[in-house]
Amino acid sequence: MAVLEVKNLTTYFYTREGVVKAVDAFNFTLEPGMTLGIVGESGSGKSVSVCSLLGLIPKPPGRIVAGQALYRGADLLQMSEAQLRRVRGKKIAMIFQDPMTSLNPYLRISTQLTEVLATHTDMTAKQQLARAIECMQLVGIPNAAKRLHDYPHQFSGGMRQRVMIAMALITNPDILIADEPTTALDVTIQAQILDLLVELQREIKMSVIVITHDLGVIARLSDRIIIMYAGNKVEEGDPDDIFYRPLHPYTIGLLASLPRLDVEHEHLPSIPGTPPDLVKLAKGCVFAPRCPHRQAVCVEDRPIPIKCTSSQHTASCHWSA
Amino acid sequence: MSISTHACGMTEAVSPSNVIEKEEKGTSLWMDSYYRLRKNKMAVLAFFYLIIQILAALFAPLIVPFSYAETDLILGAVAPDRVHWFGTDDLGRDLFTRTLYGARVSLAIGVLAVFVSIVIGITYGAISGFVGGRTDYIMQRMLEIAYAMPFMLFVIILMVMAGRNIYVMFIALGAVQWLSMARIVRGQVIALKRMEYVDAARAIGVSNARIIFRHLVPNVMGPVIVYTTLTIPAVILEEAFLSFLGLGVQEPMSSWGTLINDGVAAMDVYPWMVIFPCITLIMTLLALNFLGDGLRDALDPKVSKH
Repeated sequence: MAVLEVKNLTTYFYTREGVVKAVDAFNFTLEPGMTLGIVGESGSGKSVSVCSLLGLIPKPPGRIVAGQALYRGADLLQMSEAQLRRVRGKKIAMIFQDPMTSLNPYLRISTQLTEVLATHTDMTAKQQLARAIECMQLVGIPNAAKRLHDYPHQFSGGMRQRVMIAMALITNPDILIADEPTTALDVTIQAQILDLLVELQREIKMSVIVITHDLGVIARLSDRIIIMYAGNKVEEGDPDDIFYRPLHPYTIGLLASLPRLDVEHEHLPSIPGTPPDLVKLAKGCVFAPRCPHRQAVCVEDRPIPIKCTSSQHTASCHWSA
Repeated sequence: MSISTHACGMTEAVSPSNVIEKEEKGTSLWMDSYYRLRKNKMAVLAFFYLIIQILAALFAPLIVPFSYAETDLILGAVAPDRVHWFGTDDLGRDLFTRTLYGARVSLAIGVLAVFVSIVIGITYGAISGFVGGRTDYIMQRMLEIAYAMPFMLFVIILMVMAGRNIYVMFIALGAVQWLSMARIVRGQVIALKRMEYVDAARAIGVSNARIIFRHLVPNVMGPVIVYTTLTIPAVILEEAFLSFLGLGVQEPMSSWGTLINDGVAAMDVYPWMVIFPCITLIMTLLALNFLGDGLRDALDPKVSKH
């Protein structure tokens, strides 16, 4: 059975300029032990979709207009704040983008790590500290017992991200959501953190959702990939499908714009145009204005996801079949 | 060879638990701050000065042989000498004694202002800023109404309702002091609540109350302490102002404010009447500033751990 099943998730922001359709009719299923990668450019709704699940979007102006998010059969979107609080951190944990600002500069690492346990378990202070040390060792922080009592500013960026991961893992959650876990880190540290995530998942067997705009990260981590554009899922498939048999023109354009070492480019190819204003989305395909294969039907009708080649690979394009 | 490896293995096995035992003590922000504060000489000096000042005010009858109230018109105003360290005022009362007794009122007012502005001001401001939206709007408008109320009118209304006494002045000053603090804290909290660590705390299921008081309040302590060190002198002077209008401390009781006021009137003839109370006031304010400075640095874990 799926750990998490999201159906028709729709999150809008009601701003002065109009309704921002940040996430529109988003579906996905997360199987136990699976890593799901959600890729998209800035503003494509990837963070908003997972934050909606945990009730972390600011309300107002945000509102979840429709949808269901079944976590082991219980709908997260119908839960009260108090019920959600018991899920957050304990069952579904989250890692944020910037480890430099995700830790409170005024509190010791020990305080911040044990806070999760103090909130969700009835462990004694001693047990909490022991568990904190265990987790810090798990994420590869050397000299954990001593460093536990340091302040965030005494850690480097990569080490802070490890602390964040330790904080997320400390309660043995079912699902780990990593929101751009490597974006704020430099390249060598990125590789280390990615290796760590792969290793930890293999060890702990939790389900992971990775959000990123970096196709390299996704290729390395994911069992399954979702491509988002302007709040819509445009394509979903296994890594092989996405990288070798992409169907949606956006995915094709995205892959073409990756720098490659084996091909010499004069210019790096890019997708012409800019992402649409989410307030003024046309009724047709969201990608239609930039699509090289645009036809009359694309401007008129929003395409529905179409299963193609294998049943696991879907694309929301009129021409993908 | 084999022995030494064995020994190594032993120490490794033992040391982690030892480290935990040792480090478990003094992990709070306040204990740390205390250790850092101890290293700041000026702050420590200021701290001891204030302690002595407070003790002297409390035990004034045991320290000085003179009465603060009894006049000695035959003696009149005497310049400072070995008997009257600060001299006497024009009614022949020992100024050192009156300054010590005056510290009672002035320091009590200072402590009250700090207490009110910290307890009410921080709570009000932090909740208003953190919750935001309509709650914030209503709380801020209420604050503005309190601000807009003329201070003197407020004091006079209180006097009419409760009669003329020193406690009314305490209430009046206390009621006004937390307003600015609430605004400062609100502003800081609004800036800080967008920080990712607040999102992170929320994402691990921490309740709002805990986020406010555990995560945000320590982060606003810097500006709060600075503002507090500015508040204390302000209320000491406000008390002087009220007393001058006859709404605060009444003769023969003294406060630093009344002493300075009396001193100013007699400044041309008996300069010591204004000099000594002023010096005492200035010393206390300086000490408060040094202590406040030291506290602000000590409370910030990033500043002084070198």
